[in-house]
Amino acid sequence: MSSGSPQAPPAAKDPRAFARVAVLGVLWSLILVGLAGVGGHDVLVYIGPTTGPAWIEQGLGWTDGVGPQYWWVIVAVVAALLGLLVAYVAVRPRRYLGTRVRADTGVFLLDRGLGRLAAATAEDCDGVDSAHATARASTLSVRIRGLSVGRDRALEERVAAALEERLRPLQAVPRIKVRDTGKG
Amino acid sequence: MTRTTTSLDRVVTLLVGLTVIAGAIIAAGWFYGWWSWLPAEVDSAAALELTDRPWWPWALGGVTFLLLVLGLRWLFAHAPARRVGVLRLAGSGSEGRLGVDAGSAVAVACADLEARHDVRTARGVVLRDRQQLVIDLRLTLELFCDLAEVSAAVDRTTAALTNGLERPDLYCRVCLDVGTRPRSSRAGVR
Repeated sequence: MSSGSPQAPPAAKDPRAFARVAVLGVLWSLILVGLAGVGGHDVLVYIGPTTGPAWIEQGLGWTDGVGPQYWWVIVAVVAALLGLLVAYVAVRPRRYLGTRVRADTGVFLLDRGLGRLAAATAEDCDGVDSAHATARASTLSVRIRGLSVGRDRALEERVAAALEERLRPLQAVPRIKVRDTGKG
Repeated sequence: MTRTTTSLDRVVTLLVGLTVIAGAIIAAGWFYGWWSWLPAEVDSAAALELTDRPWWPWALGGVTFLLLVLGLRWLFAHAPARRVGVLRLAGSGSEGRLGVDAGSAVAVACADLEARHDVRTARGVVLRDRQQLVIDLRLTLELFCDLAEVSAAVDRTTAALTNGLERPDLYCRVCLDVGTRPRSSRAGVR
């Protein structure tokens, strides 16, 4: 870019997938509001406007004298698995949605787009009947159907080279895996 | 949603998960008699006694209020990234405000990009995302596109946009998708 032309804006933060932990965050906040509802009901019972038993006292009354029972073990196993799942969701990082393209501003090629571009590039190679590609976690997997009966390694190499050339504008070219399944 | 909210979600979720696991182990161990320090059955008498104290309704009222405020604050912190309707321009002051409709400004940039032969569609908004004021563009490209040419065009268009708006605090994120092969080109000889 020449010094006279306007400067492109700085790149914003990378596009990231929705943080699944937010769903649980909403659930916990709703539970807090629900607990406040229980407390509010009991306060109204104590000061008079509402009649009936206080829910907290009633709950404490129900648990009084309860001893461990066999079904607790079954519930505990399920709860422990659920707890593990919840803890996993808490620490799981948000997935990056795309690969950065060389540019002055923030340009990202989404994984879905990368897959489609790769499949189209592979299909344009001589000797490829059809292609399917998926991009995930900086790896591009391309499955092609060539015209020979068995696996054609030379064709795989040609397709990989074409893909590398096409994806050169990416800041970090993903690891390309090409597999020819033959025409079957 | 801010980074603080996500961090809070993560910390609380991890604590809840670990607490549930610990509770499950304690409950199962209680049944099998692994914990000698646990009584044979639950005794809520002491807790029930607390509810008879004169200060109990006041304390309960205070905790309820706190839970309600925290719960609602936390709930509304999960609102999605806010779209920016009007961008304030340089020159605004006590005599008046100069503003531009952010959607219209971005639409002009999108139209410029859509005029290219290798861009099928272009959409965009200005939003606040993770403490940044971001021009967020989504482009669907044709299969024959050249990524280097597209990124150069994006650089030129966004530079013209931010230069025109005179807002150096704007960041930019352009997400490129690629369209499917047109139905008409699927059949026939390739």
